[in-house]
Amino acid sequence: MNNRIVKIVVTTLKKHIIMSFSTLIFIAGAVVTSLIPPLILEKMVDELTIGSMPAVRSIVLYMFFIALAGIMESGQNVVIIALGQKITHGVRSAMCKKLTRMKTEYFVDNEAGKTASYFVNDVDAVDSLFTNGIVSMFADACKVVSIIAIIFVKSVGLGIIIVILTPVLMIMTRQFQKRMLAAQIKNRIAIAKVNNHVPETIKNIRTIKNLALERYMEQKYDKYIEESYKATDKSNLYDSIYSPIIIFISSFVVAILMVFSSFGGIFSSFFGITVGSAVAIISYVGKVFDPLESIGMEIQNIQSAIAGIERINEYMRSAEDEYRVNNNIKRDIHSDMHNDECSNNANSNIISITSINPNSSITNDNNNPNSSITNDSNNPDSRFANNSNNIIEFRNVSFSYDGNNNVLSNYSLSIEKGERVVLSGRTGAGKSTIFRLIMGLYEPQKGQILIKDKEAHTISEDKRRKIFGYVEQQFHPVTGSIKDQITLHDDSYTMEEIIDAAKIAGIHDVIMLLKDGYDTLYEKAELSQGQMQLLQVARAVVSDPEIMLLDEMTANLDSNTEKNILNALLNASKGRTVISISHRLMEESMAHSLYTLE
Amino acid sequence: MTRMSEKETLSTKRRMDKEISLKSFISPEKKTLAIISVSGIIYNIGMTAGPYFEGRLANCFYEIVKKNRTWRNMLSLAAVYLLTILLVQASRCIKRFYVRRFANNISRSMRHIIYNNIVFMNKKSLDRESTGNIMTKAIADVDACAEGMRKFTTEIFDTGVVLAAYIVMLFVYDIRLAFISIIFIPIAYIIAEKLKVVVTKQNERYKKCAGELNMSTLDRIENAITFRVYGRESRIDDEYEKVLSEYEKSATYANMWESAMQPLYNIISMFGIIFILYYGAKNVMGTGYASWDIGVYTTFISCFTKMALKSSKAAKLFNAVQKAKVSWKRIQPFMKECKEREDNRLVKYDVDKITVKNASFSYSDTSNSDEYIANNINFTCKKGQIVGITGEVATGKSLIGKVLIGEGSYKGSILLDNIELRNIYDKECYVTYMGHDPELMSDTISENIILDDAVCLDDMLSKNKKHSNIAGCNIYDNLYDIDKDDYDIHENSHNIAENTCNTDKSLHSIYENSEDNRYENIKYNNIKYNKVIELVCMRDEINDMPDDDNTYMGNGGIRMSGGQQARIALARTLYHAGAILVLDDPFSAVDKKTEQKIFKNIREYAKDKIIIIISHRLEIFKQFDEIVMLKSDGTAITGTHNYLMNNCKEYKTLYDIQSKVGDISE
Repeated sequence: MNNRIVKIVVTTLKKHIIMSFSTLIFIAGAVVTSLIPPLILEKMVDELTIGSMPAVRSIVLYMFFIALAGIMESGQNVVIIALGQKITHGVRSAMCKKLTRMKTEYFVDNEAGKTASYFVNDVDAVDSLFTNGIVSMFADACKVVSIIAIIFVKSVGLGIIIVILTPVLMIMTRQFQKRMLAAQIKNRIAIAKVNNHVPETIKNIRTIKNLALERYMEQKYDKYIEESYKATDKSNLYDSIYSPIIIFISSFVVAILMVFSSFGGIFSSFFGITVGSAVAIISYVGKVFDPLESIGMEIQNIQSAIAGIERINEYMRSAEDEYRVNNNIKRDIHSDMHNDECSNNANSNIISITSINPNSSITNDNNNPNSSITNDSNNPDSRFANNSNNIIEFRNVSFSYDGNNNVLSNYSLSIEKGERVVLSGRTGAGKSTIFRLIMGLYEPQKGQILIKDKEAHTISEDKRRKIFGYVEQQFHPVTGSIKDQITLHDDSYTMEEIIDAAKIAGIHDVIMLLKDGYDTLYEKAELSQGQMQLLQVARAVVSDPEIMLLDEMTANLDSNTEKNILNALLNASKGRTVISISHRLMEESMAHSLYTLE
Repeated sequence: MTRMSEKETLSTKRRMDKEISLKSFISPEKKTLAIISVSGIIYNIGMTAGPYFEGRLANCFYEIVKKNRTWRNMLSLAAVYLLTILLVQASRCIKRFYVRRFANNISRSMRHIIYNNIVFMNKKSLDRESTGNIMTKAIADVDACAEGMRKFTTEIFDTGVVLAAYIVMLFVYDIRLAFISIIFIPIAYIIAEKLKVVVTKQNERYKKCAGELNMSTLDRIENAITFRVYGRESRIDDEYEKVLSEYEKSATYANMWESAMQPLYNIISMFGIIFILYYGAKNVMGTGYASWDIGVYTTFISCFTKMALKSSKAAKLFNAVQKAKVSWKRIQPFMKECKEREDNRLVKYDVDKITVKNASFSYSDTSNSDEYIANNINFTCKKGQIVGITGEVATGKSLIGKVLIGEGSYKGSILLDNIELRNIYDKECYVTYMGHDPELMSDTISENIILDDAVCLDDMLSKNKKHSNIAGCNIYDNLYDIDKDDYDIHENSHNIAENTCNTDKSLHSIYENSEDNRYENIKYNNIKYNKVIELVCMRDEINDMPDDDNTYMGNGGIRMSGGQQARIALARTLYHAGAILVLDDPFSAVDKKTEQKIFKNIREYAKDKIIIIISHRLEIFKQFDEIVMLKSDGTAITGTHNYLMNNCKEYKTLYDIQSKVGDISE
């Protein structure tokens, strides 16, 4: 097991050192106090045997220790729970921070649900490993050891018997538990089949009717429930036998103790007890076997939690983005960005595109005579150096996702401020890749991608939203209200800014019709596909970004809705640099130039 | 007419949908319950034997120390003690096992009945109001119900009987002391009940926070790229941290209330021990309410201690009853008496001709005149002929196919030979249907086609070797040979097909009593299976798969491509083909060349069948005997390809568009 989790746990324990210590104290206290009442009882019985009334003090003390033991147990439960929660909190925090440092590839390659289940289920496994595993095992072990110690003091003979018996019982316990677990796993597999069979039947009911498969399906189902029945029955059998055996053994030990003690002579010196200690020992023998069973369970808990922990460790080992790890991505230390007051070339028709790569040719479909295609990849820097109007520059960029197959190789491109560009080309030609590279989601293996003369992937979080507005293929709702959909939980936007953005997107009126306006919870708003797209446009423009990136929309929209969205996009594009991916609406109405990637 | 009566005996038994009461689940379990009761009572009354004998042992030891008795007394006492404990624990073992078996039995029969109810529902009622979902949930409720019943039976003995036994024992020893000491137990119970409100509240808050955490987690991960683009990650992480803190707090409180209070209740219950220790000692001294020896003293103490611990868990009994009740209420409506088909095998009837005359089709079961989608449709199709149904979007192409298998309704006349379709209850004996949705099972390829557990392919392969020389299987050997020799000779494959159909029914009777019946059945099915795989051009693809024909298809066939799914569904339909084949868009996911090839194969294979193909792709329609063109105004024209090209503008347009974009090869 890699130590990342262990490290987090240790850090958490250190951070809450008082709580960690009090856990130890409570555990020790609970063990010790629960052992005292039988000793007091022993004294009282012994007093009775010699014909004197037990002291009231002893009676009060007996009750006192019972109460104290209860309080200690209660306290032990509390601190263990609290500490366990602190640990899971720590693990989840660390896992969340990891998300921010993660390479973008991770989110593309891994299903969100899977990762979420690491966060939810597997972290709970860490909790149970800690509370129901290690800590409680420690407490139980303490109990067993101290009870055996007391028995030794009271009766050496019995002590020896118990010491011999303990490992034997432990092995037996584990055998039982292993078998039960195996049966339970079998049952779980069968139940999974049962649970799958029902929706499958419902889904395939037409075929079942038409091919008269009712009986076949029923037999299959019965087979699965029979599997589950048998596995459960088996596990029940073990379960039923185990604990009676333990209780019988403990009775057997008591019987042996009593018989041997009553022999007198040499036996009594070996087992030598008084009536009082006999009573006390009987109660101890009853107590020594309970923790044994618990320890077995705890071993099992630890075993089953380990798989979850392994998964978390694997997650924690996923590749990180080096720039994000080593730098403060939240904000720039010195603002080395250009002054935004660049001359607005919004209507410039000049398109420069520098190619290129032997595999990918770029054709410029622009009819504009001013546009030029230059291929000077041999000496690009000289050209770029004197063009400060370029808001986006790709300088001899080579990029591949897997390290082998280049999606772009030695690719250069420059887009001036205020330009409107449409990228087109077949699927897989690299349109989306260019988008992702512009937004700095990936770092190119070779070359540079400059956004306003700063490398794309090093743009700080604070700057990003002023630069990029991104209309994605689909709308991704976040938790929260309609307002949160626009701001992405950023409280720095004023209500006016938000409303302006919604107006640009043409969704303000729709929002105002909702029950709580902008504060309506998203799930309750029941927006249509088209309205979601508009909300996305509002999200993109609320920060008044310089560059607008429009991805192709996958939603199937009717022509009326499409027109609304087009209007919104036109509005949103006003006065900005716009790059869009083969958006047929955009192609027709507003593009200055069209790049085809092949 | 004879066929009609035959059919009636085969039709599904129709009983009134009688609801089953809880009693009828429990009454078959009488024996189990009797065992539980006897062993449960012995065990739980026997629970008092532990403290009793331990007291006796201590007292005996006391007497030995005082030299009133000898070790022999102790030995016999210890022996009785051990025997008693053995008996008690043995009953416990029996009780424990049978209580669980009881629950297991109940769960099994409830599951069986619910499933039966699902599988005999028709498609329409399953579609209605997401009945499917409700049924799926009901299955989960069965577990809760059975578990509740188990807990209830367990707790009746383990809490009810045992508490009574303890109390009786205490009262027998000293009625007054028993009264004084157990008075604290109800107090603890009342406090627990009062605090339950707090516990529930904390739990609710905890659940809410857990829900929020789950949502935030998914939100953070699902939208990671969006957050990254907009530079929101660090801030969202800060938000997440807040959610985590909130969750930590609520989880800690909720769990604390749950597990911290139990020991405290126990303390309150235990207060009575003070009186026992004091007045009990007086009893031993001979100055109390009763006269005790030292053994009774210890018995009383340990008995009381055990009772106090037990009683703090008494609330479980009521909770268990409550839970079981709620789940039973939810599943009861689905508990109808089991239905069954009388014959396991689907018997296929021969049909020479289907005649559709002035028929109009509707989606609803009992339709009004204005709900008919496709109107006045006429066509006939004889054995060996193929009729195509086509039309623009939403003209009711698929509906016609569905009506033929009993979904929706029609007016006018549809005759299978001379029987009116609406009078046939088991249409599946005549019509075999393949729909848009491949409707595959999460099983292997071969199982998905053969759909008979008894004929799984593993057996086929191993037994084929073993029994290769057994006499009496000439027919199949011949078949097998033909099969092996040459698939491309259509004459032969036609023979196979014919044999397949003709021998279908006789198969059972011939080998009814033969020991090798199963083997023959398997072998016969194996040949048929290989045939249909060849027909849909999948042999090579399957051979390339990791486990050949035993390749697992995944849930709903997810591991196969769309084209493979459709072709396996087609193979399944051909394998089970009756006299009339209705194929709705069978070639949707295959390329033109394969489409042609498969169509040719089917044509040869099903020469003695009536085939109705529904499609919007007209590639193969030229080869059909008759085509029904549905128009968007709800009317239809019937004719050959050439006739429609000349006389139906809509058909010609449709055809021209498709040849223009290359969907049709000239």
